[in-house]
Amino acid sequence: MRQPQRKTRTQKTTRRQLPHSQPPELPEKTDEAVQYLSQLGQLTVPTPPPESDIHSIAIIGQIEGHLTLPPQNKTTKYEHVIPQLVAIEQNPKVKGLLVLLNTVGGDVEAGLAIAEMIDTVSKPTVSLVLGGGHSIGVPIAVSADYSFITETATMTIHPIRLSGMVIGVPQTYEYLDKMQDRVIKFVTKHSRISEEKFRELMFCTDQLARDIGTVMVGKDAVEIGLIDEVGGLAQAVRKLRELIESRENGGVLH
Amino acid sequence: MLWTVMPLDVVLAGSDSYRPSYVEIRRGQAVLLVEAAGANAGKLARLISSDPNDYLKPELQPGMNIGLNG
Repeated sequence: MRQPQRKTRTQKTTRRQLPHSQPPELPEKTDEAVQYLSQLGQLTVPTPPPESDIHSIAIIGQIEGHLTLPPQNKTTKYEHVIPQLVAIEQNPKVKGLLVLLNTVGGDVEAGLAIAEMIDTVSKPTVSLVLGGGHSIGVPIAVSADYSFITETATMTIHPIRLSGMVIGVPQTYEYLDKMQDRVIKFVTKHSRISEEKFRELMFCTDQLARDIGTVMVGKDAVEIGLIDEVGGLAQAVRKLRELIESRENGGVLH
Repeated sequence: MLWTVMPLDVVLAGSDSYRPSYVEIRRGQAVLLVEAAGANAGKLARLISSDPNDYLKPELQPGMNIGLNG
C-alpha cells in the first residue's frame, strides 16, 4: 500500500526539480512584448493593426454640404468621403466597402454625390442602416450593391419641400420638385421600389404627426423593396465576403 | 439645400455666431485646414490633397488634434 504513495512523491519531486535543471531561455531583449511587460508591468502591446481588405465608411449625423454646420451637429464631411472613395477604388489592397449609416439626413447635393460615388465603385459594396437612415440617407443606403437594415433601424421618407431650405435664395416649387425628382429617380433605379410607391410613401399623411411622409422600421423597408435584407454586422460582412469572392471568380455584381 | 428629419432651427442654431478661424498647414503635398483651439493646438477641419491615399490616413481624419508648431 505504501509503495505507490512513495512513487507519487518521487514523481512530484522530479517534476518540481525539472525547471531548475533546465532553466528556460530568456527571450531576447528586443522582444517588444517583454520590454513592455518589464517596463510598464502590462501585457498590452501596441501591435500594428492587421490590414483589412475591407474598408468601412460611417455616414453619421448630418451630411454636411456647401455650408459648414455649427458645432452642435455631428457631421459627415462629403469633401473627405469623396476622395476616400477614390482611394478605395484605386487601392488594390482594398477589395470591398462596407457603408454604415446612422444619419438624420442633410445636404441633398452632398448626399447624392456620395450615393453616386458608392454606386460607381467597381468593388463590391454593402450598406447597413443602423439606428436611422433618414431623408438623404435613403439614396445612400440603396446605392450599395446590397443593402441591410437592422431590425430596429428606421428610415423616414418625406418631401424635400417641407424642410428644404437654400441659404439666401428663395426657391420655387419647380426647383424643389426637380430636386425631389433627382432623389426619387436615384432611389427607384437602385432598389426594387417603384416610383409610384415611393411617391405614395413620401406624401403619406397619416404616419407623421407634424409632417407628411412615412417612417419604416426594419423589415418594413425590406417588404416595400427599398432595402434588400434585414440583418446586422455579421450578415453584412458575410455578404460582402460573398460578393468579393464572386467578383474574384468572374461573377458580375448586380 | 438641407433634407433632414431634424428641425432646421436645431441644425442651424448658432450658425450666425459660429465663425471659426482656420490656419493652413502644409504636410508634404497636403494642405491641412486647422481650426484653432488654443494657442498651439487645433482640430483638423479639412484636408486638401490630390493624393487620395492621404484621405485614408488615420492621423489626417477630420477632428484630429493637430499641433500648430509642426
